[in-house]
Amino acid sequence: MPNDLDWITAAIKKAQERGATAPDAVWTQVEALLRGRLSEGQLSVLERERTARLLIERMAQAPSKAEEPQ
Amino acid sequence: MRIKAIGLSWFRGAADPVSLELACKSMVVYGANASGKSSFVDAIEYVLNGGRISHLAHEYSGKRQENAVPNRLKPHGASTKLSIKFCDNSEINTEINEDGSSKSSGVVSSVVGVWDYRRTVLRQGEVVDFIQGTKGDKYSALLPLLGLHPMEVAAENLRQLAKNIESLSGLQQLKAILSQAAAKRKGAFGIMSDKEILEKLEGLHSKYCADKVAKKDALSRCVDLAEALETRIAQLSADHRRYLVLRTAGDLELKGNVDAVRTSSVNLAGAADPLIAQKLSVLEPTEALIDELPAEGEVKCPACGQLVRVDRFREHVKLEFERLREIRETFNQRKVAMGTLCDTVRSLKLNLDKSELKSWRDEIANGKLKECLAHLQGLNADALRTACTEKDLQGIQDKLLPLIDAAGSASVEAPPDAKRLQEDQRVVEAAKSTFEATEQAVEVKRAEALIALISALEQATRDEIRLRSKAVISEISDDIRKMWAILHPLEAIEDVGLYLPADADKAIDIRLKFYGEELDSPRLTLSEGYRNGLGLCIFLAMAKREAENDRPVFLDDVVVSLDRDHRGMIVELLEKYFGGRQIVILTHDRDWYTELRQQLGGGDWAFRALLPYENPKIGIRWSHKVTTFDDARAQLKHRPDAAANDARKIMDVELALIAERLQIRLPYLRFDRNDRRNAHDFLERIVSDGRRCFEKRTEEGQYAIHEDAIEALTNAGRLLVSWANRGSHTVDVALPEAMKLIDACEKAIESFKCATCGRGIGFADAGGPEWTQCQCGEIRWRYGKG
Repeated sequence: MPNDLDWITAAIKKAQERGATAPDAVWTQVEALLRGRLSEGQLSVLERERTARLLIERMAQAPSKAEEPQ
Repeated sequence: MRIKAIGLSWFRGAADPVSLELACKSMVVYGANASGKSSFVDAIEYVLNGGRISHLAHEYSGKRQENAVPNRLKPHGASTKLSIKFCDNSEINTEINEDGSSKSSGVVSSVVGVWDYRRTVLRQGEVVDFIQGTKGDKYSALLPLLGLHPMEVAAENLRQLAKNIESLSGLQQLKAILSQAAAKRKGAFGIMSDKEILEKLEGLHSKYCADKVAKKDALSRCVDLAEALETRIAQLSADHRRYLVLRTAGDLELKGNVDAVRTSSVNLAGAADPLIAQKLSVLEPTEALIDELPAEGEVKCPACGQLVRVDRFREHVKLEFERLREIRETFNQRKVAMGTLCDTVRSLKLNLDKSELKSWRDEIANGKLKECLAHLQGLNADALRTACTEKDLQGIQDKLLPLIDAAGSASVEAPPDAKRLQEDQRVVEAAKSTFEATEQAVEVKRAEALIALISALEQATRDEIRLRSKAVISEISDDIRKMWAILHPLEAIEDVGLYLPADADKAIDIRLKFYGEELDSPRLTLSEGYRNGLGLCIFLAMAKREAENDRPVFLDDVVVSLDRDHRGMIVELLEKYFGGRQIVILTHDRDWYTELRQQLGGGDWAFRALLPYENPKIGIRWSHKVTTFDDARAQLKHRPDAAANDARKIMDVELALIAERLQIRLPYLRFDRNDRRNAHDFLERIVSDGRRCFEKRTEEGQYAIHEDAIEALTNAGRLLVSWANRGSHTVDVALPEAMKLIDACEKAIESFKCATCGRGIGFADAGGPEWTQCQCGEIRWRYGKG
């Protein structure tokens, strides 16, 4: 059985290589979500909706890349 | 976890309790056709598959297979039961009710859903299932071995998540608003950049808001300017204000708006809103459905009802989506156009209702535009935002455009100062809408970035699945190749293995080289025997991946279409790759059973033979012997000649294998007669050599010729010549003669087995390469001294 943490890290790295950009705060959310929940089983419709809202909120709160401190 | 015993009671072919006592060992079970050996395999399948047996899944077996699982002649009050005892002394007990429902107790949870039937049991009818299944079936069969199910779930969750983000962020609506704002900007500023618009605003601010501190924020400047311009316009004379209102009404782009709605309506080309909604609601689950589809075969498209091939269906769904996306885009454009038309009509109504225009209204109300004004008054402008028919458009065109023209004509003489104020007011409005759209554009960008991120993650997860699938499949393929090479050494079919087709997701197929040519499927050329051999290799390669779990493997009559040469290699294959596993081989092939007894006898293997089946009330019965002479005995009553003939056939095989093991040198015969020697030929030489080579330990610890064995062998040889041959060629054998012949043959074969340790004479070397003996050394044979 492959190491779950490895594949999540690999998937995120690949997504970044594909040019998927997002503020760090959202990356953190997505990564936590992947590690914590996605691999455990199919999320229910409500849970997916809640997760989507959470990500949209985080995205809105996070500074854009241009605004992030260098 | 090895199995100690499988017990059956009125289950399938069983009557009174009967048990396959494996004692945690591997076992070869012999049974003539219909002797009931598969009932034990059925019991395993029943437990692993939650009360279902796949070969009984047909219309006659009943909803819960209640017409087929219990013995049909079960007496009233008897129960249908099965039990599986494991070597750690845990067990599963199942009782099956009349209606087919069942109740299980014991360690059910550690077996059901954990052991995969497809990697535990291989039956004759299932050997080529994997080869003949679709690419999707193969993928499903292998998926549990790939260990990638959690990743599959994660990928699906990500796909759904991206869709939720699109809908919850209101992405499409935001895009529509942006599109409206862009049109306004283009109308007011053409191709001016943000900087140039800001400079223009700055100029206007200096002109109209000199008393106010210039704010950096563009929107605040717009607000200041709008207020200042409103104040100035309010300070104009009533006449000037009238001109401005009329000019505002006269400048309305109503005609262009009507045309835009018409154009977009034509573009929709009859694709009505409900149809889009319906198609999308069907297509969305369809998109999820296509992931579950097999790689081959046909399927009915739930969106359009056409019957299409699965690969084309995927393409079809993709195209349908593309088409609907285009329609949705046009639909959105139409919505924007209708929204703009609604705003324009509202603006017209608002302006023409203004108090400044009372006298103008009174004037036209008495003239030919009376109907037009009445039409405007009665029009529900807001309703146009959601529904706008051609009749509405025609009404707007016929009744409202004349009003606009009249207002335009009446405003021609507006003074330049007032005109300037109004133009500046429009610039400020357009600038305000432009800068408000900047915030919405940020929201759109964020939502799109988030969707792109989640989609990229989904794709990366699917890539990872593919990568890991390849690695596991490559390992399984290596095993298949090695096993195939054992079964088919030096043959022209090579490089047999699994692969992931590049053109399909969730699909696996088999390829091989046939006389040097690469083939995409073994079904193109392989004979039935080869397909069976390949099916066996694939099953064993998959079962091997679970070797660490030490689960038993059941092979039920799987070599039925393999010839003797290929069949003979299975032992080597099992010993090499399944040395530590519990294997249960069930066969109706008496010769193979005898061979296996000779090859695997001793060690971890046990052998049992079933008696021929008599009737369901008697059920499954075990022979007390490991040899198959009971098959012959079963015929004594009705066909003594056949019984005698069977005994001879058993001796043909048993003695050939013994002679091979004891390295008996037989005279060379011409051509294939070497392969067709019969029991008498072997016995003659074994007895002759045995008088010098077959020894038994005496009470004094010395070795002497095993006279009892020689006598038994001689006796069997004598009876075989006189009675068995008669049984083969005529029907002239009496029951007592056949009975005596069978007993004599059995005794002769038994003489090669030690009465003390129970092992055969070829079990071990005895003090050097010259001798072979049983385990304890009670009996021995000296090689090559005949």
